[in-house]
Amino acid sequence: MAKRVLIVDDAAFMRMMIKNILTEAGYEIIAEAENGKQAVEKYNELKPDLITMDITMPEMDGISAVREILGSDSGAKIIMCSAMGQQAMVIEAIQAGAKDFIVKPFKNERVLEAVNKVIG
Amino acid sequence: MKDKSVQAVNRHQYVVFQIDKEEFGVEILRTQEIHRYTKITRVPNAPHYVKGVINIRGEIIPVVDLRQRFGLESSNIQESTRIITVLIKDYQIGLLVDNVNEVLWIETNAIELAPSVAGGIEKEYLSGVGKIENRLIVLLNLEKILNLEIATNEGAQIN
Amino acid sequence: MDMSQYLRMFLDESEEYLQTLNQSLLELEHNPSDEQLINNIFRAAHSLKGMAATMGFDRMANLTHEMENVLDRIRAKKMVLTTGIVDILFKCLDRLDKLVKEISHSGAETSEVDDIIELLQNVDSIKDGAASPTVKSTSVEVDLMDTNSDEQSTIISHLKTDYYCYVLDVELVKDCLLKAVRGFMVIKNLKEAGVVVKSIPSLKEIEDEKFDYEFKILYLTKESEKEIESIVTDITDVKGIQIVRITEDNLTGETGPYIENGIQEVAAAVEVASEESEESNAQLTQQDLKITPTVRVDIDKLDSLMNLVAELLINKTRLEEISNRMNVSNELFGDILQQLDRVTMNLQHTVMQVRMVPIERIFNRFPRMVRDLSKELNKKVNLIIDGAETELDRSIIDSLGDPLVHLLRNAIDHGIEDPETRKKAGKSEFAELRLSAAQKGNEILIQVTDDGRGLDAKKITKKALERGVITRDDLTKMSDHEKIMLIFRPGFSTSEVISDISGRGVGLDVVRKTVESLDGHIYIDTELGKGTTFNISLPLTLAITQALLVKVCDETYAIPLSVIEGAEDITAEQVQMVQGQEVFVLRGHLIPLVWSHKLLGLSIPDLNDNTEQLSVVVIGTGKKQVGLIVSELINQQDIVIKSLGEFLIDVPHISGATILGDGEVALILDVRNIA
Repeated sequence: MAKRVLIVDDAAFMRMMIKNILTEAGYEIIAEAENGKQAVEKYNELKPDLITMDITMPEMDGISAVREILGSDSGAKIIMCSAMGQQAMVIEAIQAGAKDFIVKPFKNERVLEAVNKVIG
Repeated sequence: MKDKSVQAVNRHQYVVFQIDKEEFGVEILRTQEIHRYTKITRVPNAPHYVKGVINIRGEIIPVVDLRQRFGLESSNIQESTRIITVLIKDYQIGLLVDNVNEVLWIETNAIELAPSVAGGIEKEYLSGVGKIENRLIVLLNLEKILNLEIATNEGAQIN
Repeated sequence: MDMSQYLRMFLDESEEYLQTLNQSLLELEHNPSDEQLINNIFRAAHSLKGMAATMGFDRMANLTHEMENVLDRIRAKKMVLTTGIVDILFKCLDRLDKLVKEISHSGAETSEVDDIIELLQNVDSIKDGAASPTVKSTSVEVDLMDTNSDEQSTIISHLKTDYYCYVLDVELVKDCLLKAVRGFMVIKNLKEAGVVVKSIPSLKEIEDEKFDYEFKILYLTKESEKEIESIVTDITDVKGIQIVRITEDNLTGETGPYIENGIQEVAAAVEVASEESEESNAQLTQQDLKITPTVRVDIDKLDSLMNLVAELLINKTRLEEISNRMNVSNELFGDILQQLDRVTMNLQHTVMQVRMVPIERIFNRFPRMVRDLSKELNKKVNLIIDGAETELDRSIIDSLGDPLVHLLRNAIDHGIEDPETRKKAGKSEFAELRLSAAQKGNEILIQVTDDGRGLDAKKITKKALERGVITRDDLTKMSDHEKIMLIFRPGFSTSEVISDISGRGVGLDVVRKTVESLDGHIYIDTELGKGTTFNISLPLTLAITQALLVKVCDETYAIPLSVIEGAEDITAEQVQMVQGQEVFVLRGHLIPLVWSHKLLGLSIPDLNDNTEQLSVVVIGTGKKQVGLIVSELINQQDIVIKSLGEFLIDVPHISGATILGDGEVALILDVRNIA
């Protein structure tokens, strides 16, 4: 059975891009969320195998979402999606328990490498 | 003083090149190299007669389209097109010309003062006209043509 | 004997000693009982005396001799250090400084020194022939032992309880993004399975990205080498790890020095025993022991070395491109290319490092300046310096001194209120003036922060109108930040009276110009009543930088990464019009859009055929963001910055050029001022 992924990003474009990359590689995108709050709700509802999590988002940012999700399910697997120059925040997210990170602009092989490592 | 030195060395070598039907010359001592046409990277917002820049062994060298500098139509790149690099005040500049013909000795006393216009070019850009048999070779005053201070759009309007 | 050949060196070293003296004396004023400091000062004065005497500069020699006498008595506790003495010593340093300048200028001493000598001789009534100095400090070793006793005991106690001790050498792949985070992840995962005793560079430096692609860790764990390897290499972008176990044998033979000199000795010994190259061994030892033999090199030589490296880099890129294009699959060729790549890379980094000097060089002179200036202006100022160890390219550092002097003077003169005013405003009488430097990715951020009165946009605009710097018309379009930034305009000065302090005929416009000529930018954070921060960001080096390559109308352009905050692909529908300006929304912010071909005056937009999607490079200039629409994003790479030369120096929006792998020239876009 294909691994199930939840994509979290406030930019629809970004979600689409990750979605395409992952779908092509045989992963199943079971849901998308556009902010941290939605992400937490969707995670609790669907328990996906993996979350890709943007950092800067309205409502609730990615780092808070990581804390909340891991607070209720320590087994959750999360990959952060960061932009150049966000290293302090990425470190924070990793500290909070995120497994890995990818950097925008995304390259297919980078994204897949990270995803395969975490749930492959 | 000046006369003395002129007499001591009474002839100079010139690189002779062609733009349209006119022949021009620059002193060989000023020239660095002659290159085949290579892709020129245009420089937006630069003076209009600056065709762009090229890379010669790691040096970035601006290329001046002499035709445009003289207010003519811009050059069509053809097989014979060359870029002559010249040294002006320790600074290399490429001259885009239609053709490089030859290197010639021109006797100092065969050089006449420039008439007010030669080859369609204002007198101030010329250092003289060299006569060899029945050829007239217009000798360019590179300092004037490429004078760094007048190398602005304003200075270029010489029509 | 002809001494003239030594003169340059004498002058350079004298300046260094004077700087040390100034700095140590300042510290001593706050910690009068610090013997270490007294020793430092004594040593520097003594060295100076010896040098001056050798060169035949008698006045300098006499003056330092008297200074030495006073210091010796303080050191021997025959005299108590008072503010009065400190002031005299400072006067003495000023005179020495003057003498050095005179020598530099004319080759001879012209100022008299007798007045100061008299002051020194009369510091108190006790006058005995001071003993000649014979101090030899072993302070370096002492410090080492202090800092590492914890680490030593950690190792010793763990080795007793089934832990193994390893030296790990972790290398990241070189296209690794956010390598600080990778470094952090390596250390985090290691910590989950053992104890990270220390790392080189330090953990903090790793998190601040102050390392190339490699770092070393001293590690205690019960795990096997294999297990360690999998812990580390499981992390994305880790290229490899070298693990060297420190066995009992290594340790027993070294027990003595190990205990005495701390863990560095062990690490160094292990390095020798292992198959590590001598180079990294030397590096390790140098970094740890801080005993670095140095050579003075002419900066011109470094410049030409840098140029040669740049050439090499370009040719290497070309070679790679050719091999890609011709699809060369020859293994040997690939090997050679890889070797060349590695060597070039190392060479580039080494040369860059050689050119790097700690910003301390200029920061050092500020405590003294701030002390004198605040005394003169009757203000109470605590200067706090952070990140003096931050390193910058030498050529940048040299030009940075004057702008910083100006900003500090400006802060004390205009920013900071007098003590009474501060008290009334409910602030501490002592103002805090903070000077800090830090590396952020490929940039250095320098900040001058005061907690003074802050900048008043209203007053500034009023003044700007008066001085004709702007018109009322201009004003209506300006944001508060833009209004504040008016103080950088030529012809602007906020001070009512042109004071001798920051007035000196140069304004902040010169500061801004200098910073921009260094390819940096400056912006201001200020809050009325709370204080002001001047932020200067600068590239690490002027010669090589990372850039994003983009296409605009079929030509390739490079945009330095230092100004880029991100790249977004947007759809044509996302472009909106707000007050006649095209904008798009990025994370809730309206970002104005600029079409690159219009900016460059290129008439043929080739963007029409694909208007569905627009590639936008988000440029950040301090507080503002602008989206630059380009035809295509290509990739990111190291570029060698070349000047376009005098002939094309003033071309708008183009700051230079670089040579691409295929030998073609790409222009470097200067987009800092499009915002």
